[in-house]
Amino acid sequence: MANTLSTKTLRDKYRAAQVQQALRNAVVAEKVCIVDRSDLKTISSPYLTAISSVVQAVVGTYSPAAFTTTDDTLTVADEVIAATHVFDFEQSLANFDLFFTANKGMTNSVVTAVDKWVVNNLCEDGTGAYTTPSGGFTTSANVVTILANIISKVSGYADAMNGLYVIIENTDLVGIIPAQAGVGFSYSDAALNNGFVTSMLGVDIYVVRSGTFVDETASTVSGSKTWTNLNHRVGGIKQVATYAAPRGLRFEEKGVTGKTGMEIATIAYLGFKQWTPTAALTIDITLA
Amino acid sequence: MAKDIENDEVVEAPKKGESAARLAFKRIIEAYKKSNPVKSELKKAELEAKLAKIA
Repeated sequence: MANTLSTKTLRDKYRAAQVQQALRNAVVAEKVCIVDRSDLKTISSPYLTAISSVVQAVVGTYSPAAFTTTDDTLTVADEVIAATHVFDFEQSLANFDLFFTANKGMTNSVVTAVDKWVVNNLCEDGTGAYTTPSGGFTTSANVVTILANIISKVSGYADAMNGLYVIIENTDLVGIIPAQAGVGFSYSDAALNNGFVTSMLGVDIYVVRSGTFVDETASTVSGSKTWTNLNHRVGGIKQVATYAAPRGLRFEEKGVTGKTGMEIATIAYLGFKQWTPTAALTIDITLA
Repeated sequence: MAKDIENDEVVEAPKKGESAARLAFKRIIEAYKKSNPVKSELKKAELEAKLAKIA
């Protein structure tokens, strides 16, 4: 029976699966935001005006207030592209699986770029604000105080049931790990999974690499956005901001004129919105 | 191609000997004022302090 799948088709399936898996499992942004994978370029705010209840002595009358939608939208206006060219002589003469290596490198690059973009937007657009004691997370004695302040700022809202989080850089662990050890919390192997070093006081701690929180404007890191996040971290309630990745990741593999081998490109479209009614539930943490 | 300058845009001439890093950060501050005016005002002191630290 004829084989109806070409080698390239199998590679595309493998590559798509690998990157999608990495995106969903290894990206902090996916854990703390609502992810929209529909094809929509704009997504309208899911929030309506708040309804007030009236408590009164029994009389049987009431005054209805108009229920209105919030005119606010998420627009997909940025894209992440990783592109490379694998020459045929490199592919043919390599002593290892060059395709796998190239694919893995591309996966890591795209996933890191997406995560950095979303995490910085989250930090930038959150309107909750907190300044840590001097030394920030790197001073062990501050950690419990910082987490207590994060909890305090968002407690009492129903959204808190989504869970609390804080995203830190790896350099902050020098204060957090002794603090966890000191108060008897375990962290061990979980640090290897999603950059998630378990939780402390009910706040899930996610770790990204040093250099994730940055000052950028309209660059190859920030796309169309401007951030001033150096020496900042972000925390708050999960699932109150939306990150859009229409159709997930897309791939192109093509032979190009004048070159042997194949050109490979990975493309992802990105949109982000911290919805106004819940913006205060995302806390921009300033490190003192 | 030269960048279009809006009427209300204030373009500060670079001071003599100002480093590329300092100019880049000034550009970030200007862009930030437009993209997030409310937070830009809140972080004014912090951004000025950051700028002062850049040689």
